Amino acid sequence: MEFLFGAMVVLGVPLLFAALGGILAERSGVLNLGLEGLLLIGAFCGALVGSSTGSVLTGVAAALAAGLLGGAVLALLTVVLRADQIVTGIAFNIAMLGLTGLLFGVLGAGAFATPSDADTRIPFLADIPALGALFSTHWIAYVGYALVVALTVVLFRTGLGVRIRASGENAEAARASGVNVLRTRFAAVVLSGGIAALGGAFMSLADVHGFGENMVDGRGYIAFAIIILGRWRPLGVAAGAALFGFAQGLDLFAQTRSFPLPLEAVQAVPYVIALATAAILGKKARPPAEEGRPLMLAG
Amino acid sequence: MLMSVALLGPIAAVVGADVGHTYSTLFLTSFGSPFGIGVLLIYSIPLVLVGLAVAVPYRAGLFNIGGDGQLLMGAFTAMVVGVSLPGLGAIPGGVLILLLAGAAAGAFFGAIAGALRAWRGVSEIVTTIMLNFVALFLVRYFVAGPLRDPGLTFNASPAVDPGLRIAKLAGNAGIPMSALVAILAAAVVAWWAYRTRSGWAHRMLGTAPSFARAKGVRVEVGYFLALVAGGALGGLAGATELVGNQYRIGFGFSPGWGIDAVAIALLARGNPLAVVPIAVFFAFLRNGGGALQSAVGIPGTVVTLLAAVPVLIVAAVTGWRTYRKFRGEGG
Amino acid sequence: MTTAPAPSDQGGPELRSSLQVRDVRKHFGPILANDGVNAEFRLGQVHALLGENGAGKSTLIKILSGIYEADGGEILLDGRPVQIRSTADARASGIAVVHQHSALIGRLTVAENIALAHDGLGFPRKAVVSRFTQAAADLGFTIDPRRTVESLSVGDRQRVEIVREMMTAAKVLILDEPTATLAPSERDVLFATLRRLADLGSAVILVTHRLEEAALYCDAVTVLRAGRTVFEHEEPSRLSQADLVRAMVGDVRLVAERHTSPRGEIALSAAGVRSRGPVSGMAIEVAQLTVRSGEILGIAGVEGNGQSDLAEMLSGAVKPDHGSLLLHEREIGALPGHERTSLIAYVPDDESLGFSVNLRVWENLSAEEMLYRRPPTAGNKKAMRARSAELVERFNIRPPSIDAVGGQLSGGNRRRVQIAREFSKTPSLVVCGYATRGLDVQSIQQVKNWCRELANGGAAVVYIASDLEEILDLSDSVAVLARGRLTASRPAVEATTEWIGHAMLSTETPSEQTA
Repeated sequence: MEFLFGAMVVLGVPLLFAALGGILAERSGVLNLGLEGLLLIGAFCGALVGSSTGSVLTGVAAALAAGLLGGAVLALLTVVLRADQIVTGIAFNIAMLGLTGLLFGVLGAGAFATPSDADTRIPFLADIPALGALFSTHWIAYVGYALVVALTVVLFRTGLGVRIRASGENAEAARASGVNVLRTRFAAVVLSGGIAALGGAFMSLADVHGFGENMVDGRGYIAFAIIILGRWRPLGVAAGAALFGFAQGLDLFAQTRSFPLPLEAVQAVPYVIALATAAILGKKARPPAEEGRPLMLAG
Repeated sequence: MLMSVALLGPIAAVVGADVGHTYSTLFLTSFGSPFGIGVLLIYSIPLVLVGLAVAVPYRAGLFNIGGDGQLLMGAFTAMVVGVSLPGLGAIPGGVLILLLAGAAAGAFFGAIAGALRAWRGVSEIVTTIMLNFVALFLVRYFVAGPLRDPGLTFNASPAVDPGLRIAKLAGNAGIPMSALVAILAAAVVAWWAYRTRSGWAHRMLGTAPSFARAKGVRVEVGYFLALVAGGALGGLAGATELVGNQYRIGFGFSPGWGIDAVAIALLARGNPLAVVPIAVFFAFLRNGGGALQSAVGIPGTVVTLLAAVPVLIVAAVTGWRTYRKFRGEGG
Repeated sequence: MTTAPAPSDQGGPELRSSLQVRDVRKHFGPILANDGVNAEFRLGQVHALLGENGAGKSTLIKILSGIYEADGGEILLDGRPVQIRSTADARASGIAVVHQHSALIGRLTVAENIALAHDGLGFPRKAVVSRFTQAAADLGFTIDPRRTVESLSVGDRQRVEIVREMMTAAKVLILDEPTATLAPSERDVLFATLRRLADLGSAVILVTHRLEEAALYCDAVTVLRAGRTVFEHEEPSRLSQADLVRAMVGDVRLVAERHTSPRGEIALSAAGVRSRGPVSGMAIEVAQLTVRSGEILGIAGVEGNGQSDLAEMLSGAVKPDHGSLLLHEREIGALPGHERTSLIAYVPDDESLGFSVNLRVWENLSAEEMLYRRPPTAGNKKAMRARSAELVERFNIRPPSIDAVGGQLSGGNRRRVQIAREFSKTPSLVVCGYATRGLDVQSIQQVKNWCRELANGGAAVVYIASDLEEILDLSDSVAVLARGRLTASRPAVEATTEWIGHAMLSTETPSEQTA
């Protein structure tokens, strides 16, 4: 059981980062469909820089920087130029898949052999049965946990959060109240890029210790199911990421011993739950009202 | 699209490859031999069909990101029908049953997203993404379990009966006759979109929903049917790929056509006839990309990047123009 | 019924000060939106600003709140001229506006909404919340600031907005049509709040087109018409209804006897129609109505009293909840699309219901054809394009190109496209909901002529407009729509200003048991 929770953490943390980045952008009114690509460049830059400097920390910093840059590109397109958010996100993912694959091929896998540093055990917490796995993992995961708290506080306990949510709910009213909606959304999307890229860095630096073409393999899309389950809240998203991580972790379970149920059926459960949630709640499980709509305020 | 091709040169130069040789490889892979053309067509067929699967809902203002799930379900259902009814192969035209079964399965997946969108107000973007995963797990379960072909060393379904395949002319990588399915589908969709009353109602739904509703178009039903039709085309894509090329379903049945299709449909602006050349262009890039690695040492994924850049630019230009127009009107 | 002048009105000298506008002018292109507006709004008073749509009320509000800058004239605060060039200037001058559409964000809490506007950091700090609670208590109400705005009633939301605006230390509060969406009981509460606000020393400007509100609740009234101040009065409670109607719509000359009473058979008949308005949500009631073939029925009434709802029902786009609405003995709401679109010509007020900016002119003109009659085959398309070219010519659409995209057309030409499509039918019923909005005088005359032609061709015409003269000039008979309720019609020759005014002011609540 212990290793299953371990797998849950390892597989859930990238999803957590991606979904956290996703809700930050969505709360400001922008549907960031580029999470997949952001995870990829995070994984890519994390591994590349981590490998060449021999330092995980610099790798993470590089992933963060790349994610912010990627977020800035997305923000330029969707927020400033008002490009369609869905098309832009998808094309961004395709582009990043191509770009990272190209550079990976050119540089060779050797350039991505990352150093591995030991997991950090948090005293006492790590000794809790099963759940201890949450607290004996790579330090990047702790950044993710901290982000859950930080985003909750920022979104729901600060003026900045009120502004972000106001931009996402009613751009016109927000502007009438003195919020610079354009700037708020731009910043939210840039930051969302940085956060999502950390998830990629976790994959390449803490999990597989290397990079592979298309290594993210759809995790950026899973994040949208998690966001629905988590109802656009950081804590809810954390629970959703755990659920999906757990379901994915069953894969490892299957390889070690026989599993009583069709594994794929169990793995599909979270998606079906997310679909059912959306179906039952309908418009009540609503995303921020402005999501997906380009800012059409004159000026 | 010219831009995509133009971009390759500088990239090749930066990577240190011979630019001329790079271009000649890109073109000759597809057009240097009948074999190349055959492969190009094989790559094109699913992209055309999935491109249509995205284009049809797109004309009604909806995004079908579920092409991969729909085509997987279509291929799977066609395979199940083909394998469980071996006698079908003896009947002339039996393959059509497989294609129809595939389309029906895709339509069912489209209907889930369509019903949720039309009557529950749930974003079709998110539901189609989730349905992709559901389809993936479903097919993986059967292909690795109950329906695994025991004669194989890897996880894949049994192959469909040769009598239920669509032939390739002149050998195994020759001209695929299933191209006819894609061309026919594009023609039918185009005829429907531009020459029928319901095609017009569909277009009004996408461009002017309030106007359409005021003139008696049932908007919810329209949204539902748009995704059902999109799903059916996605399912048809899967079934066609099954009977025309892969014959069996393994884990890597679709290399992500559903996502490429979104880009294709956007570049085509939802025009079914424009989907065809754009899909062929994407296939041309993919086909050439495969050869670049061995010939000039440029990783094949470069073409993925090349395909995406024009989409980003078109999206940005369209968005900015719309915004400028709005500001011009709003004063 | 009028409250005695507020005690603060006779207070110290600083309380006698006021906001004055003198000869304010503003034009948009050739249109003079404000052409000499004068008014004085005193602290301690609730002041009604009346006028029909297009009279210049909105422009004046926008000038006072800094959204537009006036071309001429003066704004004086406490007798000293001030420049208002931006919304920030307006706020600094102590002028606050509560717009018709709520500027609150539904899914945020009251506290968060308040903080958004008032706290430097935008976070609901205790200080702001307690200031809000205090300010609300001053106005006589309490609201839990932790509730989300969307969970509040419309009236409570409005009061939250009022408090929010007043927390900027505003001395002048402008409310734009605040009662449009309020239930009668909520309306009384609102006016109690406004009275309290005035008593506390603010000037309250109530922009409305409901005459009775001015008469019942206000200390002064200013009436705008065609961009000018045409009437001012210090004691509106002493005015008769007819006085106010005359001030608002001007003296209407009696209709000449040239309209013969139509003798066609009954085309449109309504009985016992009661419904929730599909557009505004207000209760719509038509007890009894008949319009004969060849008859033009003008519907008078101040805009926002259910006109769009009535038009939607008459056109068959929406079926009423109760009662029957028949066109030649057939239920209008049950007509299949192809019959509805050929029997009924409908020019709606809302452009998006009859026009698309994304479609080409010929597509806009042929939309119904392609939906119901002629599939867009190559041959049909050619025919429809040719017909569109004729219509563009005949209805004088600019630019005269059938391939222009809707968005390229001006508002007036978009309306002409709709008129061309609808008026080129041979309908049994014509429904015009402000069909002439945005058209120049000459075009309005043209539209009226076309309506007459359609009537002469045997159609029953229902003509909704805001300009009373336009209605009386065209119609054979007139009915008045007030608060969702349509009066019985009477021949246009008998439609006196007094009768119309009385009907417009009718404050009776719609009876519950209409057969």
